[in-house]
Amino acid sequence: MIDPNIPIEHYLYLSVILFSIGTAGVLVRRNAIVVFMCIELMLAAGNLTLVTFARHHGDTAGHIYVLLVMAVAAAEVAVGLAIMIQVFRIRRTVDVDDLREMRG
Amino acid sequence: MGFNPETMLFVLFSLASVVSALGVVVIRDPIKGAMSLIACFFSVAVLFLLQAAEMIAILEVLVYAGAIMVLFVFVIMLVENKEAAIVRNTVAQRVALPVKLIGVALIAYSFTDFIRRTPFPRPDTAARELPAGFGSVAAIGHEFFDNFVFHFEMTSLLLLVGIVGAVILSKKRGKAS
Repeated sequence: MIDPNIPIEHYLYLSVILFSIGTAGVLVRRNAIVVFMCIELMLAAGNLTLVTFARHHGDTAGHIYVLLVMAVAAAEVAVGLAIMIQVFRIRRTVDVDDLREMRG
Repeated sequence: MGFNPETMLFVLFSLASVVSALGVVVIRDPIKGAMSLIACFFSVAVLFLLQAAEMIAILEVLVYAGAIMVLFVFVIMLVENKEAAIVRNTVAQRVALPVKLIGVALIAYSFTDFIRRTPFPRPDTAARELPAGFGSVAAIGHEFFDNFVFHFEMTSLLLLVGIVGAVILSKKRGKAS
């Protein structure tokens, strides 16, 4: 077993950095597919936190939650990309600034 | 902190993950962004391995870098629009960008401050030994089917709904229904 000599805080800070980069991408980018990829990045950062705490406490439950997050991410990507293809068929664009029907 | 292999691997792959994550946000071409995201997932998988989460690391590569990113690349190639390069540089957008970045910085600061203020109690060395087989397929399977059976069933239901939803959404409109 690997000796845990990297403090837990380092992993948490890395997770914060990845999550913030993902958030910035969601807010800044206009291509809806890139926004989706940034959401995946945020989910990966969350997974990193879960795995970190799972090892810190020696508890496998954290790994279970990572598996659940992966399943949710897979379902979300399948449905989200299907919606995006449908939007592209109708509007010929996936630019989030052009899709403003639901904006009041 | 010495130069033991674990530290070196952590520094190397955390840097790699941050750089490739920045690539996803900064690179204009979505295909190249997707490649960068795959690199990021591989780096994160190595970080999982460093934390004795072998099965999660394998699944990260198989599910994320494999299945999900293949789907992304497919859709990017389907949706690739030629006139997407119109750059609109309105005043509102120029104002919005710094505001968004300040918001992200505030979120990051609040998280960081929270981590800094929280004492993570360190178990003594005897208790820090991980249980045997921690992170292995057998351990996760036991945990899953002993304590999380309901979650397992709900996950299968969720995936079923996802499949049906994706099929219905990507059908051509007008035909059948």
